[in-house]
Amino acid sequence: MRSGVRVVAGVGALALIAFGLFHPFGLVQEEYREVVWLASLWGGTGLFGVVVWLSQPPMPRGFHRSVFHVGLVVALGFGMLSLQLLRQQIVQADEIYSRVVVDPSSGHISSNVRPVLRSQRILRGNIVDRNGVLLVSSEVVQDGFARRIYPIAGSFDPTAFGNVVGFLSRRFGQSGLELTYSAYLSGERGSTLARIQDEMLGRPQVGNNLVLTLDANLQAQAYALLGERNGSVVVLDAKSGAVLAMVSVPGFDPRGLSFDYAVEDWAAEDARTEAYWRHLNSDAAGQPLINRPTQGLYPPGSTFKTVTAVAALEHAAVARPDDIHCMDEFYPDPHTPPVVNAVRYGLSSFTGDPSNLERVYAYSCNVAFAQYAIRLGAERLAKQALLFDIYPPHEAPESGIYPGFPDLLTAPSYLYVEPGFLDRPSALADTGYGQGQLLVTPLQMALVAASIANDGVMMRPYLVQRVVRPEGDHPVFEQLPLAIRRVMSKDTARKMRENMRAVGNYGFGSVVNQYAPPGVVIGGKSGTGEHVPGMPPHSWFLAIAPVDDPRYAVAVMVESGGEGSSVAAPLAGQVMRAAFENE
Amino acid sequence: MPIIQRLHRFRGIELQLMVTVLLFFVAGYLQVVFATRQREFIPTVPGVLSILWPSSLPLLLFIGVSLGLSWRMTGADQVVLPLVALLSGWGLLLTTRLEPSLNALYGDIYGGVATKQSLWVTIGVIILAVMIFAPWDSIFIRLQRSSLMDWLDHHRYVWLVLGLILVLATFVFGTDPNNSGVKVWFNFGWFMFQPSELLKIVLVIFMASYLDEHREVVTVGQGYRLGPLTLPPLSYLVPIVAMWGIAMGTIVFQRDLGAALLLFGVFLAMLYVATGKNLYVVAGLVAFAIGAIFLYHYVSVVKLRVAVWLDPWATAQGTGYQIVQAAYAMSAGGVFGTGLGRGVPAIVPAIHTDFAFTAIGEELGLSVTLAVLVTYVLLIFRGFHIALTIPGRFRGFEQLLAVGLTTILAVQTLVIIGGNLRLIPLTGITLPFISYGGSSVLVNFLIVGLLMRISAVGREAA
Repeated sequence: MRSGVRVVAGVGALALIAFGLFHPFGLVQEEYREVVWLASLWGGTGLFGVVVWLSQPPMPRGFHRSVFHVGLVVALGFGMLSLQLLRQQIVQADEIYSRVVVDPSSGHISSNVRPVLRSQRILRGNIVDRNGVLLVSSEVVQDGFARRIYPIAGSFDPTAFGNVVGFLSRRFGQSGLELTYSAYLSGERGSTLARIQDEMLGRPQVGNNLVLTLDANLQAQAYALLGERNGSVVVLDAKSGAVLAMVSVPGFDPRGLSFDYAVEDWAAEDARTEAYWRHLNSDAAGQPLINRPTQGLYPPGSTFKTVTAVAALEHAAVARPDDIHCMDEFYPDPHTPPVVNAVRYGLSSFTGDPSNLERVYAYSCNVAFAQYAIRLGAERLAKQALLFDIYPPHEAPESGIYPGFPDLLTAPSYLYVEPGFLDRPSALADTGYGQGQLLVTPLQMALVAASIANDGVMMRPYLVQRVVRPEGDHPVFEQLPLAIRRVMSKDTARKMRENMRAVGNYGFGSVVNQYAPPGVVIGGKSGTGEHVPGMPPHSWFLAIAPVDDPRYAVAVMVESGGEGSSVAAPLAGQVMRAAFENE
Repeated sequence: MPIIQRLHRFRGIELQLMVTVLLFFVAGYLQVVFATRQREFIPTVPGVLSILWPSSLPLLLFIGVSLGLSWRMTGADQVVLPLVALLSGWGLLLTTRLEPSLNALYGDIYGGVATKQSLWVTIGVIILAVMIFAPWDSIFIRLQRSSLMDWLDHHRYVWLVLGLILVLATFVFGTDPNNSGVKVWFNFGWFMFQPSELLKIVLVIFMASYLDEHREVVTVGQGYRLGPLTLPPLSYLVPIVAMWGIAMGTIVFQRDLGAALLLFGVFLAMLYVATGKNLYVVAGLVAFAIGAIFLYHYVSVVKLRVAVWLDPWATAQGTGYQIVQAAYAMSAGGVFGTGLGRGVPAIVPAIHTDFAFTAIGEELGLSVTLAVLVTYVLLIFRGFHIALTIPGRFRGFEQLLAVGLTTILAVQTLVIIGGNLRLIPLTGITLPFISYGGSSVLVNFLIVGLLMRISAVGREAA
C-alpha cells in the first residue's frame, strides 16, 4: 500500500513536471504555458514531497524529526528553484530569449534588447551580384560599432535594390535578404568554428557573404524602364530559375533606414531614420515596403489564358483546342450576363471562324477560353493551376508563405478565394480567361512563362546562388538549379511556345518585337486585369526569348497601367533587349 | 598547552577550503577587472598584487579568523566559514562587475558600490571575529552572572520590546531614499540602515527563548475546543496570533512583503521544531492564507505582485518590466553564460540588490547558478547540523536559536531567488551575502557569528 502510493506519486510528479516543461503535442496554448508550468511545478513538487515523506526512516517524534522535516521543505524549495533554472536557462531559453510581446492597448512592442545590441557590433557579410558587383557591405566605425554601407549607390540608384537586399534598421527590424538570410549574414549560421575563434580572440563577429543571381545592371535598367509607374518586373533565367532581375516600384532607399554609428548625434540619426520610416508608411508613398513581384497579389487577366491553354492541350480529348469558335457572346449559364470579348464585336474577323488555339490565344479571345474552361471542368483546370502552384484556398500553404521561393517573403497565388467558387459555371468560365477571383504574384506568372520556356519543367526560382566565408571563396552553402516538377508535357510546351510566338508575330502584343534585339524573336502573352471598377486595369505581359530555345522569361506588371498589349508589351520588349545586351 | 596538542587541533579542513576560496576569488576578481576594463594588466607580481589589494582584504581576514579559531575555538564548525567566504566573494565579484555598467546606465548614483561592499564585508568579518574571539562568557559571568547564551535566553522580553521599538521607530523615522515605495530605512547620513534586518535576529532570539520555555506545554496541553476544531493552547495561540499580526501589519502599513513573508516563515519553522505538531503549522498556514486573500483584495501592491507573477508579459513595459527583463537575462545565460563583462545585466532594475542572482545567471550561466544554490544548501544544512549536534542536555534554547538563524538564511534565499525566477510573487529582500547592502551584510555576519559560537559550545574542552 505504502510503496504503491509512493510509486504512483513519484511517477505522477515526474509526469507533471515533464508535461509542464515540454508541453507536448501542442496541448497547451502559448498564452497559458507559463501558468500551466507553474501549476505543474508546484503540483509535482507536492507529490514529490509525499514520496519523500513516505520514504523517511522511522524516527521518534521530537527535535530531530522536526528539523528533518524543515530541512525537507527547504530541500524541496531548492529543488523547485533548480527546475525553474533548468527551464529558464535551457529548455525554454531560446523561446524566452526571442519572445516579443505587443501591448494590445498601446501597441508598444517589448523584446529582448540583447540581439539588437549584439547585432550592432557584428560585421555583417557583403551582398554581391552575379558579376561580383558589391551591393551592400559593412565597416567598423567607432567603439566597435559596425554600420551597413551601400557601395551600389556609387553606380546605380539604390532604390532599385531596396526590396531585394532589404533594409537593416536598429529600430524597425529587417526586410528582404537582410531578413531571410540574416543568420548567414550575421555569421550565426555557416561558420561556427570561425565565430568561436573570433569570440575567443575578442574580434568582431564577421558574417558570410551572399552571392546573388541578380544582374545589377539589368536590375537598374529594368527599374529605370518602369520609371514612375508602380509595378513589377521579374527576369528569370529560363533554364535554371535564377532570378536575374526583380524590380518593385515604388522602391525605397535602404540607406534611409540604416543607422550610421559614425554620426556624433545618435538622437538626430534616430530621428532621420524615423522620419524616413514614417514617409515610407504614409499613404502618399504607395506602399514601397511591399516587394510587389513576390507579395503583390493581382488578377492576372489574359496572361492566365496561358494556364488554360496548357490545360486544354494536356486534355485535348475533352477540351478540343482546335475546335473552337470566337463568338461575340457566350452564355455559360443562361441566368447570368454573357462572357464577351475585350473587342466587343467581331473579334472573329481576326481569329477566323472556325478558329484554332493558336489564333484565339494570339488575339486573346475571352469567349474561346471561357468555352475551354467549361469543357475542361473545374477539376481539370484546378489541377493544372495547382501544378503551377496556383492554389485553391483549401490547398494554399497555411502560413501564407509560398514555399517555392524562400529567398524573400513571398505570398502564395490563388485560383479563387471563396470555397466552392468554381462550382458555378459562370465563375469557371470567368476564371478560364483570367478574371473570376484569381489573385497571383508577378513571380508566379513569370514561373508559368519560364516553365513553357524550359520544356515543361518548372524550376525553383532562386536569388542567392552561394553563401561564402568572408576570408575566401569556400562556399558555406550553394544553390544548384532544382526542378519543382514537370507541369506539362514536352510536346505541350513546344506547342505553347508556338502560341506565344504567334502573339509576338501577329497577335495582340506583337509590338514587343519592335524592341527585340537583332536576330531574336520574342514570344509572349499580354494581359489586362480588371480590378476596381472605374480604375484603369492592371497591365501585364509575359515574354520568353529567343522563342525557339528561350534563355529568358520575363513578367512585367504595371499597376492600373491600361491595356497589356500597349503598355506592358513594349516594356517587356525593352527589358528583354536589356537582358540580351547585358550578356 | 604543549605545541604538539595545538597542532593536533589545527583546523586543517577549514584552512584548505578557505585557501581554495581565496584562489577562486583572486582568479574571478582578475577576470572581472580585465573583462570590464577597469584596470590595465601589469604582468609582474607586484603589479597583479596592486590590482588585488585591497579587494582581497576581506578574504585574507577570513583566513585570519580561521587561523584564530585553531587557536581559540577548535571545536567550532569547519565548513560554515569557507561557505560564507565563498558567498561573500561572489558578492564582491558581482558588485565589481556591475559598478561600471550601473554607472554607464544610471550615472553616478551607484558610484563606488564595489568599494562600499568591500568595506561592508570587511566590517562584517570584523564583527564575526569579535563575536567569536571576545571572551563574552567571562564578561557576562562577571557582569551578569550568566554565560552569553543564558543571558540572551533570560532577557527575552527585552528582545521583544527592542523588536517592537524597531517596528515603531520604522513607522516614525522610516525613509524611502530609493523611491522603491516602502519606507523601511533609517537614514544615518553616511549609512542607510534597514531595521527589518536587525528585527529578524531580535525576534528569532525572543522566539527561541519563549518557545523553549513553553516546550513542556506541548505534551501536556490539550488545547481549546472550538466546535469541531481544536485550537492550540494559549501559550502557542498567542504568539501565532501575534506573529500573524506583525506580518500582516508589516504588509498593510509598510508594504514590505518580503520581511513579512520571511518573519512568518521563520516563525512557523521554529514553532514546528519546538512542538513537533503539524496542526500548529497548518493553523498558521491557514491563517496566513486567509490574511493573504484579504490582502489580495484590499492592498493594491499585493494584487499587483500576484498579477505580475502570473503574467509579467502582459505588462512588459510597465509593472512587469523588471521580471520580463530578468527572464530575458536568465535565458541569455544558457549553460555557461555570456561570459563576465559580456552581458548587459544592468538593464534589470535593482540588479545589484534584489536581482543579484539574475546577473550571475546571465553572465555565468546555469553551471554557476546551480553552484550558488548548492552553496546555500550546504550552508543551510550545516546550520541544521549544528542545531542537531549540540551536545549535552538543557540546550533547547541554543537548538531553537540555531534552527531559527539557519531558517532566516534559508527562507530569505528561497523567497528572493523564487521571486527572481518567478516561482513565487516577487518580494524585495536581499540575497544573503551576495546582494549589495550594508545592513544585510552586517546582520548576516552577525547570524554566522552566533551560529559559530553555538557550534563551539560544549566542544571546546574536547
